[in-house]
Amino acid sequence: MSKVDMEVQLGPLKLKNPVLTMSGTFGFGREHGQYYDLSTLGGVIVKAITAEPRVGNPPPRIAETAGGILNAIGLQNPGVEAAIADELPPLQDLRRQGTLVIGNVSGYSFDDYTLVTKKISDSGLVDAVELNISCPNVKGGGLTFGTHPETVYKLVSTVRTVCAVPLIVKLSPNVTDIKEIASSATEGGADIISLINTITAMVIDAKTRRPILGNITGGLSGPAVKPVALRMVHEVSQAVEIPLIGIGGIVAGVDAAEFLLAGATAVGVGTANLMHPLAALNIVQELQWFLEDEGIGAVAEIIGGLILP
Amino acid sequence: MLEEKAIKPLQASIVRNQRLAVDVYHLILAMPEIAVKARPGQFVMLKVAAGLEPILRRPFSVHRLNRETGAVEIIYQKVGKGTAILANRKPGEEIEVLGPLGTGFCVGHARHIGLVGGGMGIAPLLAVAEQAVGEGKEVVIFLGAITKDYLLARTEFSKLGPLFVVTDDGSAGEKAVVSKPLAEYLQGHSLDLLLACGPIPMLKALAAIAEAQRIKAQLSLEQNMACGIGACLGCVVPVKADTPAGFSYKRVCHDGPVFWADEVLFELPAKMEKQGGCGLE
Repeated sequence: MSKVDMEVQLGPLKLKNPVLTMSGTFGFGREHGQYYDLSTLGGVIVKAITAEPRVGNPPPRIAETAGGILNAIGLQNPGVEAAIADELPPLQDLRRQGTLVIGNVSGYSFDDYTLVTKKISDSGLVDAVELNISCPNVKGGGLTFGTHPETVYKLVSTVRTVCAVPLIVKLSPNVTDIKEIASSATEGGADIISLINTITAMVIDAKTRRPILGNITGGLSGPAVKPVALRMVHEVSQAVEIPLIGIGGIVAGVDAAEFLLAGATAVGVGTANLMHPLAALNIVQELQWFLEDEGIGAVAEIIGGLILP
Repeated sequence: MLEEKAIKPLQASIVRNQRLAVDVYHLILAMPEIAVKARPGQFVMLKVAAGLEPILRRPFSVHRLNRETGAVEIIYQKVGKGTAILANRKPGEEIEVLGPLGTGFCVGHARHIGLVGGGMGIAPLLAVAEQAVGEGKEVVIFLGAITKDYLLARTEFSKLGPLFVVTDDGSAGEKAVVSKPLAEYLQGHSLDLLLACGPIPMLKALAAIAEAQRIKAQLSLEQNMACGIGACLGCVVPVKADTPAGFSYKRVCHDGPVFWADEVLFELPAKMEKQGGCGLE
């Protein structure tokens, strides 16, 4: 039993520890749940849920690069009805044990987002909704929702009206000024901001002269993106008052500590879940050890504790 | 919510890591816990080096199982960064292993089984051949490779049943594709199950033969893989399904790597719904 108090208050949400598993790397918890007791986690953010079932992108969907991976899964998921009927109910035990279950909502129109958010929120099966705004707005010319401050404000404020649980907005790093987007999400009524989503990227096989991914481009994640993510978390923490979930290349407890110092209140473990099935559990443990070694009594003490020159 | 318990990643000792052909290696790992639990057709994922390079584990099918000694054998080809690192690992060193993973071959009540392997796809067939023969079943083996040096475990297979080999260059057996001796064999004999692994064109030809002859067939498939446990949906292959798109994707790591031949779609439907632009979650 650790002497360190690991509890954090993430806006309206109380977490038993600051470690969350990120959407798309953890399914609906079933697979990793065969390797360890998920109630050791602060929370689980489930696979993206869309209005209709989606088959996803053609393979190959995964490519490796130095220090990271690219993925182009294409939001394969069973759709909101099946998610509510089959995927979210088995996670309710976790909630009774104080581990949060958070629904990730993706869409291609304002209607998609509001419909799925309302259904998930009204189901009573999640503690919060995370809005993935990195998708193209099909009716708005295909431009990504999350890259335009006006659109972000409109989308978040619209979804806010149907969302009865705390609303997390997950930011795309593929923007000119992430502070501006964060401010729009905050003004729109976000309770929490999570960042960063993957960085749009590409890998090429020189011998076949073809892109490796079936989708041509994909999202880069893993240790390679950590410095970018830390910079963005730091910038956004200066720009908005609402709490942040820091994500990007966390594979060890000390990485999590860096994000907390940069201004995040909680952290998201993503790619590491694909590298080792016990990664998130190990990161909780390593973060405790790091804090013990540093003589810190409560994890909350290091949030935003970055010392600037 | 601990469901069925899986074996956590464990350290295995390298017993042997020897070159068999120009770029093909034979790896023997001592890992009793996995050797006891593994079934032919399943795979393991190896962390070829400690640290962050490469990021992902590499999947390898089980070539042979020895439950008494606790050894699991793997045959691999040096094709990239991960396997190049693995080829340099020495006996006595430890390597982190995740497994056993995936479905295995399912032999069931079949009595006369045809095994068809092409290239590195020969590797996973030895374990299932030895198990089937041990259970009193009859196996007939068809192997194809680019040259005779790549006819892996030829001696071991020859002890288990009739063996037909072909090569691309004619250095052993006829200069032909492996579906040819299979088709010829089926003119005078019957089989009640086919198990196969190899390149996609070979599997496609085999699936057509199996369908024409009404023989059930299982194919072991591969795909770029990340988590290996079914969570990320990275390693999918298209299968026939009653969905609006006319098909769905299944995970090689979790739903496979062994699939029924009649469910596999070798090509995507022409009217593939464009899903691009949102690989981001």
